[in-house]
Amino acid sequence: MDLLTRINRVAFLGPEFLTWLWFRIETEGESFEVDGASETVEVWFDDRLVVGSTMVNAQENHFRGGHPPTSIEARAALRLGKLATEARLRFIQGSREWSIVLKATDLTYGGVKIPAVLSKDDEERFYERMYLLEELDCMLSGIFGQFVKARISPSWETHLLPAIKTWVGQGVMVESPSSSADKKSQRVEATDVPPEVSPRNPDLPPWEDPVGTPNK
Amino acid sequence: MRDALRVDSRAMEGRVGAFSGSLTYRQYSVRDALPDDHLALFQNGIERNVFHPLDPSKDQDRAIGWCDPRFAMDLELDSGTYVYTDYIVLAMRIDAWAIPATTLKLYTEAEVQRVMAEQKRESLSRYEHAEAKERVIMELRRRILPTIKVIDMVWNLEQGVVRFFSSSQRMNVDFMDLFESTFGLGLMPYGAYAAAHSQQVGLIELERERLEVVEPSIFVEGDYNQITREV
Repeated sequence: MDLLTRINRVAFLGPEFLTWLWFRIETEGESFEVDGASETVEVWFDDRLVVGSTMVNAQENHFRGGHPPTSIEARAALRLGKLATEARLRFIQGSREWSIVLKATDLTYGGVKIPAVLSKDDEERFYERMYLLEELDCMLSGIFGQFVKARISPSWETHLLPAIKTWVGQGVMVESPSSSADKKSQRVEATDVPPEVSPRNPDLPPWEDPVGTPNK
Repeated sequence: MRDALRVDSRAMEGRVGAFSGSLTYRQYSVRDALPDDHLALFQNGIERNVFHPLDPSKDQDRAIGWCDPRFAMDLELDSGTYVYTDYIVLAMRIDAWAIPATTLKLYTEAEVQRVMAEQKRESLSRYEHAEAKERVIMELRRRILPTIKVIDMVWNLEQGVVRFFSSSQRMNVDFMDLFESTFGLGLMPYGAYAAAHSQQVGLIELERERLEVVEPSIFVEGDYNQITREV
């Protein structure tokens, strides 16, 4: 197998990685210990997310504004078998913050924002910018490495993938006309809140709250 | 001369690049090891591929080559210009003639009218029409300036990582050709494969073998074929 074929063959790992990252942040938190990073790295999904299918020529869903990963629509798209293909991510290390738009299909970055560069001299500014970009690469490669190692380990099929499937399934059930009679099965999210009380987070507008259901 | 030119280097600020501006880039891994005495070899390659401005009298639509990343008009490149400790920093400059279509059409029509009036004819053949268009193109090229694009390239020699500050597919193809022609080394675009094989990820042999045969996973329960039909 030539190099180009090998590169193209594993391109699906990019969207799988971004979706795993979404799952990982929601279930275990946003903190990551990364080899080579001086401090714990926090990763957040920001205000931009694209969810699409890598297997079929399906529509892409573009989400902008608010916090798309917690939106009902984004989770519903996951339940249709789509994966995250692009997202604006924030990386935080101590008091420093980076922001990128990660295109998962080829792991390219756009709109990279790095912490403020202090140097005034051209040459020093160059070194500082490169250092900050390399720190960003270190964080992203480290987290991608954690995913790849999990992805190719035997426990992927037995533990991690079932957990991701459960997480995806816990999102909003998609209402289809044929199943409208079975309303009871269409829960929004497991919750202990009595059905007559809205479990919605009052601090969030309804379109950003994946948990909420309006009172009927 | 070079220092005098650099006085105007602030004019380059605001563009995407290594020294200032927004940061959008594509990343590559250098596939081959650095040769012995690589800086001397690279100097020869850079001299061979330095940018040469477009000549309006020649039938050439684009010119592409290396220039100083801090001032694109500076084409005298030596290691003092582009070596920054462990980095090689160059800019790829592309000049192209860009004659607006409407301008070309109007001037060509005017030239056709002029020839018909001069030769007292009512029409020109297709061949004569094409000749008139060529004359107009050559004339307009003498009167307009080419469009200039300058894109920085930063190569970390120690890590073997190259960053090219453009996400344009066409620019990246041009860049890979120019890089390989200049330095004689192959580039591998960054992506899941390159990232997985990076030093930082540090896969062991068994893991590399598993990676070669890994297949896509389905992240939803149930009949995936039925779900994709619904999509």
